[in-house]
Amino acid sequence: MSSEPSIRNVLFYAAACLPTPEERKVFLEHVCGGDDDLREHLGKLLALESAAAPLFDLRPEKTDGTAAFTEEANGTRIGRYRLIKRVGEGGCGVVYLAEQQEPVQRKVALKVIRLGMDTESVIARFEAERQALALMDHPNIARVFDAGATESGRPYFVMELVDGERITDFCQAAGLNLRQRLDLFMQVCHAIQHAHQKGVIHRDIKPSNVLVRRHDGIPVPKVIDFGIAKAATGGPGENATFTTLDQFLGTPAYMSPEQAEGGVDVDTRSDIYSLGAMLYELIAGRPPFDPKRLKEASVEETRRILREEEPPPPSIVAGHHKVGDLDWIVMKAMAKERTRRYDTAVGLATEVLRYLNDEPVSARPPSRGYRLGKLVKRNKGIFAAVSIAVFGLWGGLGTATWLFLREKTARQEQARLHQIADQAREKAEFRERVAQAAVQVGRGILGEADRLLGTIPIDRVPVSLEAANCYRKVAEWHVLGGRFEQAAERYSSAAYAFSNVDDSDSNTISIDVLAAATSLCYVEDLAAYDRIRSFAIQRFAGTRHPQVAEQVLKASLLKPAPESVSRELDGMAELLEQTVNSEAGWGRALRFRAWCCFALGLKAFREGSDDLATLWLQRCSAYPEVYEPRIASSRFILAMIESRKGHSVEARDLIEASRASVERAMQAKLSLGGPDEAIWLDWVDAKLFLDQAIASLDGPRDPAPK
Amino acid sequence: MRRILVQRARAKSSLKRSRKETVDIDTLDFADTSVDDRVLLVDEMMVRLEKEHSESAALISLRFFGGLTSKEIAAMEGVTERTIERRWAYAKARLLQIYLEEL
Repeated sequence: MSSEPSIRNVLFYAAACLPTPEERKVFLEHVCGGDDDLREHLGKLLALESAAAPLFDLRPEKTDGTAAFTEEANGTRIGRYRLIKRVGEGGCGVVYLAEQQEPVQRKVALKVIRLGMDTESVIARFEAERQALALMDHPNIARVFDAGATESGRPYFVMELVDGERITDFCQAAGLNLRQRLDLFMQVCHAIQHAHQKGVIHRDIKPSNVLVRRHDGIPVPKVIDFGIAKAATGGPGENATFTTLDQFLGTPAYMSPEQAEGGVDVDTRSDIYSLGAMLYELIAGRPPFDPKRLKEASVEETRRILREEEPPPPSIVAGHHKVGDLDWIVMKAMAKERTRRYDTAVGLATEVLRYLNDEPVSARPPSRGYRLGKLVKRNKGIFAAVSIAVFGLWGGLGTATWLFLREKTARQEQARLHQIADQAREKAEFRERVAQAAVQVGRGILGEADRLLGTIPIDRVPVSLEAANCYRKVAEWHVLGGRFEQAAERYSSAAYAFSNVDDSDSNTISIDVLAAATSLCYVEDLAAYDRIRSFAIQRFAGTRHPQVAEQVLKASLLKPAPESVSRELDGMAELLEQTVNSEAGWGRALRFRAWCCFALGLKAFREGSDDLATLWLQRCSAYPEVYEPRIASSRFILAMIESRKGHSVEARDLIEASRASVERAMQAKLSLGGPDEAIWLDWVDAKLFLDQAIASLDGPRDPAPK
Repeated sequence: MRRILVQRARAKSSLKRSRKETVDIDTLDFADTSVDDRVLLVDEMMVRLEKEHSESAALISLRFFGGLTSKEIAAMEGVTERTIERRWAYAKARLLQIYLEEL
């Protein structure tokens, strides 16, 4: 040998990493150069690598097992049982149909464990578990009656005879749909839950241990082999998953990672994993991990697969295009870390039921952090190296900037959330106060109601019908008490509240506007009057309701208005003209027609069209009905026209004609309106016009806008 | 552990039958051999392997006779599991080669 063993080793390792013999050959030719001895030696060694595996295989010979079973031929007696026929062969034993003679005669299933294991300890462990097994009484669990040893020294178990098919085969053969499959699965979950409550862990849940048969046409699942995996494999301190020869018991395809790892600390959550794996197969039609691959893989490789590989979502495997909640349920049940799984089998069943009922499930796609964590865990070395490099480059600057930005964004976000929360709290508080005020109004305690409403700023008035009505009631109470300042404020609030809750073209809202405008003008709060006027014009600009138009028009022109306001009222004026000239609809009501003429006259007067105004006002007076506030108002407008012309005598006469009645009315108790009474705001309006008319007599003349 | 396994294998094979050579050199089929045969065979080859490459021999001791997993050995030696797997592949191949050279 021409080179040191250590160099040969290194070359061997490198070559062994190459997957195909051809690549290995090329590699060896390249590295060995002219050293033919070395090349030949390494070539031979590589060829031997796979051949050597069986030499180090400590698994018992397969021929040995089957040979032993020929001893137990049909008709043979094992203990109290007579074998009738061989019905199946499982991963770790052969199952016979047997007949029990005493104490009762019945047919049972008898399972002889195949592996050459310590029979005495198996039976001892079974005896230890027997108490718990006896407590289990569930229609979906097959009872385990007995355990013993055959004459050839193999342990056996005697179980309730279950005549059924593997759950997966049954679903396939019966063509069950997903809902029916999930129904079966939930029954299995409940059975497992029962066992867990009795302190029994199955440890080997898989489709071949869940048999289904029809009872009166209804498929009923039955879980078999309870307690056997435990008895056959591990007691405390012993490896729970493997035979003494480091071999998996049965198939590892449904085995939880921690159980495959061979730990003794296997709990109920290991069964949850196996249930998840079975659910996977019921959905996808195949187990989560390829059984053939697992069979061929070494124990180490199998452990690695179970520990690290994530099977594709079952829905995708089943041919669906989208990952759904059911996939998340399966993935949660099959989580690698048992703390992430469902705590109980019944929890898993409930989740499946929620899925069937289209309710949200608690299983969710793992968060990005979780997935990143998994990735880091899988590739610790690489991540460590990359992290060091990246952080070296980034240095403090990147981190500091990032931290600063994050801090800033967080603070802004927090401030915004605070504000929203405060507003919400405030809103709720104001609503509560209005509700209390409404109660007080109902009890007639208006003073208390007013006090409550007074604490709410006008722009924060809660938007509701209840609030609007409450404000109006309190406002009317103020009017009757002659407190116009407070009345004005409450009417304004009522108008805002109404308009926001009711977007209809309704005179119940415009009347509040008129009342608010009247009160505000009366108390000379012109800034507030301006606001409510703008609001009213905007809110009712396109109105088709003549009374709304009449009220808004009047409300907007209680005081001299700028040109822009006048223009915005043109549409409403037009509507009123049509109404006055029509004999139908609102036009039929003479009283209303008179008011329309007054409003149109008022508008013409404010615009400086004195002749047109005079025409409208004379037409207004021509209506036969005697309604004193209206007659007075027309006279005062006419008086202002006269004084504008310089006819102070005529103006004074017009004023004096109605002055006394208005002043009398204002000193008397105002009324909210009735069949024979003038409504308060008509009198107040008249009083406003009276004051303006008097002012036009002796003050500097109110110049007509040109 | 190795001693126990070998002694047990020896006792068994001497009881049951005289040890016979069942390895087919051409196909290298060990399927017909019993576990005991294999234990004895590996044990015999270990003597030479220990002289030639003690690292491989130590690994076989730990893994084949001791029943330790690659993970456990890797943790013990302070190397990666992958390294142990590579060493294991070499050790296996070399031990078989020694056996074939002796035939």
